Amino acid sequence: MSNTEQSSSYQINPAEKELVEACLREDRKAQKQLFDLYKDAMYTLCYRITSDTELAQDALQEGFVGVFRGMKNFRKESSLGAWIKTIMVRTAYKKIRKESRFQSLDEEVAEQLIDWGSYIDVSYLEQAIQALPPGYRTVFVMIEVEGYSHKEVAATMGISVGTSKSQLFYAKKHLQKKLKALGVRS
Amino acid sequence: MKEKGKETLKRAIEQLPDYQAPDMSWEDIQADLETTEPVLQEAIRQLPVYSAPEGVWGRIQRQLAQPTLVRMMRSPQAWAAMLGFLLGLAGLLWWANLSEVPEVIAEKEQDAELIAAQIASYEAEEQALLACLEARQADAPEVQEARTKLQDITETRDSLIIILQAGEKKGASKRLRRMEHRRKQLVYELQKQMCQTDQPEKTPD
Repeated sequence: MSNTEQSSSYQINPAEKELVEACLREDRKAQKQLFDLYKDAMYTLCYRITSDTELAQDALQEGFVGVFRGMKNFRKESSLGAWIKTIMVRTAYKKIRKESRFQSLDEEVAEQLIDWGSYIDVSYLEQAIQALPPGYRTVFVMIEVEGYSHKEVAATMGISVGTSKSQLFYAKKHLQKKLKALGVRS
Repeated sequence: MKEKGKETLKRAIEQLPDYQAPDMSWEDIQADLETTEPVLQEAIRQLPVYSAPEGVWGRIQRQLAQPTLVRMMRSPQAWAAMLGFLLGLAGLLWWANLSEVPEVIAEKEQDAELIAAQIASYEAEEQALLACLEARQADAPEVQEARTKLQDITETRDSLIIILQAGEKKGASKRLRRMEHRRKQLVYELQKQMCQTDQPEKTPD
């Protein structure tokens, strides 16, 4: 099941429910608790999307302010984490949207095989992800790292499902090329 | 639940046709499988998690504590909207000044000239009447009556002048003209009654 398209019968756990209710009462301690619970995961997500520590920090701050102010809109149809993640992705993407360029998929290029070999060095993978153009990077992070569907990516980024698919393809081509150049892939 | 002819329905269901899966289905599945290539996925799973920088919570807390108005004033959109409103207002005032004010000033000047001309036209007669009344016995009933009449009509006239000066022109100008005419008549009439009795009547040559 994808990130946000969860069943409407999703049952929020009691601890999470209590935390949400306290945050709705603007209880600062509860808000801090929620922030501490998700801050690193969300900062990592923001950093992967923006590829810039300052932009990631701004996105983290704006995103959490949005989470606390918009808590009344949390309909408990998905987990709290998935809901926060969606807000963070949108906030981080907003920071780099102007730089994002989307390319339509060439039929011939689409037929090319992407071979990942037998091993990828993680530290270099991170570097290669950060080196991707912003639009490709966002789609790649959302789909491959965060597990969103193309439909969800399209809705979040305001692009078509086809564009999301083509951006993922180009992202992988870039990534493969970069890893090959770094000589870290066998 | 009670059903009749259940076998008929069962037989009909058994005869429902099978449809061929579209060719695209496998391609979609294959594409999905390709996005989860084991080598890439394994590396993605090992990607590091970064620690959020210190101080972010402090800034979030300060931002949450800000009153709505302060929050609005911090937003560039709010400033743009306010600037737009002020520019619009300034434009409106500029246009209003250009199109209306000189006309109003000219009209007011005309009104003032008209009032001054009307008041001054019988000033000499009024001054003579007042001097004449001064010279007579102050407590004489006819003198008191004459003074009251003149005072009442003068007060009414002055009120109309104030209304006109305040820009309320609708009907006031016409009423002032009528009032000044009546006042002028009263001054002449009173002068004739109160002042000319002491003087010998002029005889035609």
